[in-house]
Amino acid sequence: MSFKALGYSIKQGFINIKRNKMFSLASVGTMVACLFMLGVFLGILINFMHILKNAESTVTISVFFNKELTPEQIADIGKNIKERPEVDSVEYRTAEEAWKMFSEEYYAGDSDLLASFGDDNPLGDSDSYLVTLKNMKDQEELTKYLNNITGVRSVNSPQSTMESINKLNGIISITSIALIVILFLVSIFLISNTVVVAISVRREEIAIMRYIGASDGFISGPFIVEGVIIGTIGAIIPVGLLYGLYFALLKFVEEDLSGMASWLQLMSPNQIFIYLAPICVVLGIGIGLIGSIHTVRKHLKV
Amino acid sequence: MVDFNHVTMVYPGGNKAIDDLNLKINNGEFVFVVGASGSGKSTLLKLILKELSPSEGRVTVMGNDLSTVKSKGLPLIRRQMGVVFQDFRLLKDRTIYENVAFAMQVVETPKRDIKIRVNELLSMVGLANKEKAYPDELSGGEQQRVALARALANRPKLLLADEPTGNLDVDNANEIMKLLERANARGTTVVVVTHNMDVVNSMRKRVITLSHGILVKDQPEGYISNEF
Repeated sequence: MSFKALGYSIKQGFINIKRNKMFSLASVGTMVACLFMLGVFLGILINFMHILKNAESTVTISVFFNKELTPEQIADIGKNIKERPEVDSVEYRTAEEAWKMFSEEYYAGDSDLLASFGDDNPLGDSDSYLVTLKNMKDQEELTKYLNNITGVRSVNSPQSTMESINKLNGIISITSIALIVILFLVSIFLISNTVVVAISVRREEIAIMRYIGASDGFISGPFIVEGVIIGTIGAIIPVGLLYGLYFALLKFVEEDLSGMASWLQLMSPNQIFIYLAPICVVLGIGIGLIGSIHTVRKHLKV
Repeated sequence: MVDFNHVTMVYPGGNKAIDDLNLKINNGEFVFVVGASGSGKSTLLKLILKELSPSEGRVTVMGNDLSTVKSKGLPLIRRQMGVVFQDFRLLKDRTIYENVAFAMQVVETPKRDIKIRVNELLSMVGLANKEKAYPDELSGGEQQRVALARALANRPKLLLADEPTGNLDVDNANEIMKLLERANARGTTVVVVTHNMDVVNSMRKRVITLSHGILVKDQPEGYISNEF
């Protein structure tokens, strides 16, 4: 298509929208609603994944050794574990460090009880490796591997926590895909309806264009432009709304839910909108494009 | 220019609109196609425009066998044709100037050339002073003249007119026929479908008579005496 024809299509696309004001508004409105819902859901999803990722990084597998192992043998075991592809990090923790952490966590408010242990370390001889996984799905396999290493006395893996997190991950992924597909289809249907109305309003003009010898691109261009304009406006509005709402949410969490702040660590607006804004805009334009091309092909027999 | 070779057109439902038609229209001819309602006149025009494809036979227009023309190539052939309808088919939300210019916009003519050509055409059809008017503000005859100007905008080799005087009084009908004759004199082949006896008889041009889709008469300087 030449620049001239493109210019004509853009101009006519805007005229189409103006002529079908009510339908265009309805389409934009529904697109806004659909993409807003999609944005809310994606926002929750991205934050949830972020929180899960944080949770994952705190879940570790502890590997304990037989007493008689030499420091070199322990170092070898550590090296072997580190080389496993599913392992993110391996940290060596001495029995003293383990006891210090345990006591701080459980006896922090009871110094008398803590003092009763004196210099004893109830966790003596429990030097260990703390292994963090890249992906929690590999936890079972890695635990099996760790249990089979010679010199390893025991392996502690928080099976139930990991299983819950994995299950939650699965449910959220499936639900999000299903919702995105539904919203996508609804939006395409609405754009199609608007374009059908635009085509029926201009049926006579299209017939005349055909007789005069207008190319398929020249005839269908304005309708495709119309779909894309509706899609773009329908995407920009919800992104703006979501941005404002997200700021308000962050403020609310910070001020009124400060008690939950330790685990409810939401992403910053920039972190989240770097994904959300392009996704919404690409989806909006994509829906506009697919919806209008599909309708134009069907109704103009281009 | 136009060649029908054993063309038969049967509509879905079984109605045979054209029956084994053989017809040749040469470059620069002025031809009337006459016949009663349902005789196949409009179908003939639709076949030339490739709005319909024949059930049998071959239609050749300007050297193109239409059965081999793909949808992408069709606009290029149509750009060399002009069409005028009984009901004018003007775009009501555009001015007279815009209606005529539209035909040239569609084929991406430069804006400056459009201006020159539209002014020339509107002067030719006697509507230079009404370029800013809208179709509804014009009489039937004036609207048909705009439609004719639009049909001639891209200097077509072939001009098809489907009952161009059907909605006009005698004076306006004569005016339109004069304009068609002028276009013909400039080299455009003109095919006029009509059942207006007076118009046909005043022109003394070739007359092709159809009846039930069959070519029943082909007169070089035809005169028709019966009302259809």
